[in-house]
Amino acid sequence: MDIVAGGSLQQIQQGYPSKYMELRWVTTRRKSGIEKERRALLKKPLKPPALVPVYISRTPSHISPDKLKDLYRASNHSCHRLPNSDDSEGTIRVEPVDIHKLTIALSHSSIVVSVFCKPTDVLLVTESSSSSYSASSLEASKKRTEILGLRDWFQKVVPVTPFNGQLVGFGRAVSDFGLTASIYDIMVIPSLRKMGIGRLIVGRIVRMLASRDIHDISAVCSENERLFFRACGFGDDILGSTTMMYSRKFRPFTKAIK
Amino acid sequence: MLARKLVPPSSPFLKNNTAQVIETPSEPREEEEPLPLEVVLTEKTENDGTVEQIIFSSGGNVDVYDLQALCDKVGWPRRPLSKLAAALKNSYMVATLHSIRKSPGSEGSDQKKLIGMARATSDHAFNATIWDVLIDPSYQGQGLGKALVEKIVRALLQRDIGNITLFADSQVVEFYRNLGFEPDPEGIKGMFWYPKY
Repeated sequence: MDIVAGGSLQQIQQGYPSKYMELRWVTTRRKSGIEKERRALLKKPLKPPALVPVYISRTPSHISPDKLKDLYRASNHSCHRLPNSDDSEGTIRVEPVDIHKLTIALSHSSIVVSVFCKPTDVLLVTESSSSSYSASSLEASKKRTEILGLRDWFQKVVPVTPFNGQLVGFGRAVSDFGLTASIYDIMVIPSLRKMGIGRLIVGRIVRMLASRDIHDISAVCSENERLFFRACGFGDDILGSTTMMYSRKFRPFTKAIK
Repeated sequence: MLARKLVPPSSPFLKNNTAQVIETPSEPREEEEPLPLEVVLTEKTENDGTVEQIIFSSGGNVDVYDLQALCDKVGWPRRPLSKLAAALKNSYMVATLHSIRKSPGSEGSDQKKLIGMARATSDHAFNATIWDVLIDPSYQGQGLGKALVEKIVRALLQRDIGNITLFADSQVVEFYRNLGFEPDPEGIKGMFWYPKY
């Protein structure tokens, strides 16, 4: 197991490049950087950054379509690029993904990457980043971790695997294994964002494609995803091409199809 | 070579000059209707009696050497043949246009030439990307490129694949706009990976 305690995100990501070493560590350090300032302003006690082990898998059979559907919903991610459904508050609430189509898409995606985390760790990170954190609850949670039964200790020691872990991140790519590839649906559950998991996923996909000698990798993204992909090493097309998408409003074929 | 003929939609994209469009009624739709393997798009008879047919095919039988020659004609940079072959094999849909010239009186000596191609990769459910659309320069300006892309798009829509993307060079943005594609819709853009050595 590769243990890189703290350190920069770069170090954590490189890890040990063997294909059998699927465990990685991600940290809330970056998250707590922003939190630190906030807390300093509010004069609240600081929490130590949590170091969380995740299991990153390339095996499609590790994913259950139901769990994946839950992840899509939790991330509010739509498979349709132009979702166009607003709820009453004006936030875009996407329609739930069709599980049958999702299964088909999965089976025809050339590369599928999933990230698992122990449910207890998910709770830990969620709790530690909740705004209702106070000095007294810090004490309480410390006490909680001290009183560990054998079962708890065992759970702490057993490494996370796809079978005991919760699906927290996902990404897939479609390629012709000759010239091009397209990355779709990169997502991480909201509570574990900004920890480097998304970058791990994209990095893994890119490495797998590069090992098959495919370097023309595209990712179609919305405005708010652009910064993320830029951080992963993506940029605008050097050949200056324009991304174009078929518009659903244009339907000269609907009459003919019927 | 069996040519199943489908009635094309009353498409404004196919010019009706001296070329004759062959039409027959379409068959009833099934659950997963496959794209018809071959359709004769146009048929033209020249003065000396030679008949030239332009045939659309989605069977994906492309000779990689013919494709390389076509790419050269259009002026594209050369790519390794093995990669071209792999790309064709793993594409969801490969559509081609061939020109078949039949001279009168000489049975069995048809001249078949690849004059256009387009391919799409897809996850078979939600997303598809159209790559490599090319038409032989001497056949451009006849609406063949439009017909090619139109057919691919229609086939994708029939299979309920809603996100159809492509990356267009500046000179062809208008061409695709007329076919129903929008540039950067709702701020959505494509990004490409650049290795940092």
